[in-house]
Amino acid sequence: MKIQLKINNIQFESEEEITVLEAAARLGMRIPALCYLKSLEPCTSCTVCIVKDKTDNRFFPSCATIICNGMDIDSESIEVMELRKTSLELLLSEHLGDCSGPCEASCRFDLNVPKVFDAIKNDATQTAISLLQRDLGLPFLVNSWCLATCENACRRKRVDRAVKIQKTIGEFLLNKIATSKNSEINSNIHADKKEVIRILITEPGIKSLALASFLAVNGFSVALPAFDKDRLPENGEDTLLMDIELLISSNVVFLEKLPTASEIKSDFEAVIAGREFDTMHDNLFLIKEAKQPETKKSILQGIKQAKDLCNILYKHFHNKSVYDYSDRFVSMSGYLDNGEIDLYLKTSEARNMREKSNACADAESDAISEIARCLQCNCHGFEDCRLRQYAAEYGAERSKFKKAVKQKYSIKTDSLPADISTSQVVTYEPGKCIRCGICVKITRKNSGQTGLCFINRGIQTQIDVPFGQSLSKGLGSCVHECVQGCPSGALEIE
Amino acid sequence: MDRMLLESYPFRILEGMLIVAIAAGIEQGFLYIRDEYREALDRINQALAVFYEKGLLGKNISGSGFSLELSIVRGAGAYVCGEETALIASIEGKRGTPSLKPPYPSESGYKNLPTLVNNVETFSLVPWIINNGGEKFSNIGSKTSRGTKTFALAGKIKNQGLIEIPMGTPLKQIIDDIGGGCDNGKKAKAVQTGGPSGGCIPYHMTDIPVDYEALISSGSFMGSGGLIVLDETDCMVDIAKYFLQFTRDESCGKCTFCRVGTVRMLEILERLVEGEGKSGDIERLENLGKMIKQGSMCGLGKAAPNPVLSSIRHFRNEYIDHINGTCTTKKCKALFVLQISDDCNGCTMCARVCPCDAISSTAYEKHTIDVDLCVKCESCINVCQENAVIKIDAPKKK
Repeated sequence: MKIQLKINNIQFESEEEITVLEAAARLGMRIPALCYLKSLEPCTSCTVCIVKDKTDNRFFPSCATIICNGMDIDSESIEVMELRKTSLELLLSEHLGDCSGPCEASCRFDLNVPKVFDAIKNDATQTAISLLQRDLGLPFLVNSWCLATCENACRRKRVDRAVKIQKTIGEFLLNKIATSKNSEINSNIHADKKEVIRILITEPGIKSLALASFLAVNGFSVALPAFDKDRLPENGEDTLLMDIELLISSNVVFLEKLPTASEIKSDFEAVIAGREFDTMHDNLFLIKEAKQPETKKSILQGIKQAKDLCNILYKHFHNKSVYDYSDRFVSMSGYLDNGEIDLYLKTSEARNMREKSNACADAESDAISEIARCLQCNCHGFEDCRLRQYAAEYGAERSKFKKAVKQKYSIKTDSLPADISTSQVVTYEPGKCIRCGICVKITRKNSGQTGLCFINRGIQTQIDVPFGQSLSKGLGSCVHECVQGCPSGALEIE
Repeated sequence: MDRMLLESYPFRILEGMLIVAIAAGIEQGFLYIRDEYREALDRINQALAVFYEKGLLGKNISGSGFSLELSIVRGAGAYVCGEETALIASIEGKRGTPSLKPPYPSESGYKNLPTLVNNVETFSLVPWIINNGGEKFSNIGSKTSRGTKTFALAGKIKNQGLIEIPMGTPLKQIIDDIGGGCDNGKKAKAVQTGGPSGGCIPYHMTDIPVDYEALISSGSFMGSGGLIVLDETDCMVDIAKYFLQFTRDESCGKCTFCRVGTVRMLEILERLVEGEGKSGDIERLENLGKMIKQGSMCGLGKAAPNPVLSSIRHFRNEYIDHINGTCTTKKCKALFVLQISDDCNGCTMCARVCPCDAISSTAYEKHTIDVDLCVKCESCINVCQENAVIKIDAPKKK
């Protein structure tokens, strides 16, 4: 017998007894869910996948409710959206942890310092450079001129002194780029792009250079007039020349003279021009270069504006942001006390220890040892954190429901058993856990082992390993599956 | 009330279960009793022994070919295990958390078998109905709610205890006639029905009949059959906070709304009681309360905000007063200070009982209370023959 129902007023028929969530998915409607994994029995804990049946005005989690004849499901109304948002906000009120480290959060250019450090540490030169270019535009110039707010915010300062981020990155750039052949770096930027969008910039200033860099690193093909040597800023000549070298290696074309009007029409999909430039083009964008010699501050501001302009262009052509900072959700734990800092310190030391014992530790440069001082206090599950994604999607407010007493940070660290991995450390942060029990369910597969379990009830509910066993004992052979399944960054492997 | 039935009428309950088992073709049954109810456990154990001895339980009962095994499962005392799916999980040896319905226990319950779950009171009524007929039973009570209901009458009332009344009896009659009104000549203010997750009904609305529909329409419900009478000295915010504390502690912690939402609501109530309320707190409570009711999956979560929502509905003024830093009933400690009025005749009684020497006294002179030392234990109020110790609004916090 066929089951017939309506989801958001669209008729749906099925012979199988599937859940409302699956039915919606078959109609191409995505219902968000945190505690739901297709391979597991539903946990029905997060209540983010809540929907309403308009026939009896009942609300229920769509991940576990089987479709019935005559249902009239509503998963899009303001009422349902508000419930989802509130449920996320309630989860966030219990959430403790930074989405990004204070270095990234305080950076005017939103540079993901830990990620760059990771790339440098792992000798992934190209990744590191494109990360730097992606966020700083003109990495040599910006890095040497910026005020290093990241170091001011660095949590390591509380232990001894801040990590020397600016110096480390500067030295890395000098060493790597000066020594290697430019053509090798970034040479494959357009390799995987079939249709490259070609953009012409008509101005020869620093802002245009930065824009060219941002566009190039995001997959556009850019041409602009050769940089006017007279415009070289004071004290920045050397660095800017190196940035220009980097641009050339990123396939940015420097033109001897500007193309004619008909060439512009046929050769470029967009034109970015100054106010005086006379052209007609469907995609014409305005850029304002300073006429006067500029100060450091205004140059940096100009580069920031170039980044925003790049975002506008990207949105125009690809319908999504590439620098999505305005609508991004960021959780911040704020001030930490000494005990909490110590926990971060111990965890990062444990991670480094494992790494060191497995790498040949003899050739340790200054940069590597400085990077090793980083507390890695950023969230290690940032990329695939569904809590963060949905919070951004639903515009959840971080502090709508503020906890009366601030939570204490805690973290459990354990090294993985040798048969799984010799170089990795698994961490569990209760402050980021949403108590959904996915890991509890997964570890039941560990035959003969206790797995993980819930302890306490109500607001005191915790995920723990029974009988005081170690974390890796509890996770057993399911460790990777659990880390993958964890909807937030509570369980991570480093 | 159910405990009283278990302790006093164990045979009635077992008989009820036996009849139900025959009617539904059930072969195995459990009595899920919290372990704290020692007396109830003992009595039921004895009653079971008698039943087995007389051959009224076990295999092939009285040669009828019908078999029923009944046994006791001792619960660890979780309120949420009164919810049927949580109760079943607990009997199965799992964590006592409710699961989503459907599937209902009648389709898939204990070990995925069809399971009938009923309350003690329901089973205890079965023998009477069988003996006297359903018609006679349905003649008692109101049109929609038939039969009788047992209530635990408590609070600020003269005659406390368990009462059994026909459904449809006006609430006022229960308070004034059966309960004998409030103690010490005070006026009744409200009555909390349905236990900790029920709602309060103001005294002036108590002419409603006690039946399922009328209670629900006034923002409460029948629930566990608790009737707690509150008098004019009770602060509704404080009472709501007390009940919400209970549900917060008893939440199983599964669903976000109940686990976190109740705590956030309680924190708002706590700051109201402390005189640190912010404007918009009432609306915050209402919004969050409504969402907890919608977003929770089991009865506990769906009912948890009831005491708060119903008291806001009927006593909004008291909440507004708390935001403004006053408690009209002078129940919230942070919102009043003790003072000695001119009625003081200088007997020094209060100074003698004061546990923290906050009262400076010279005989036959008016005494004074040092507000900074006073812990507001109210011992002085209790001993003063002249009623000279009074509560006044605490000075506003900066």
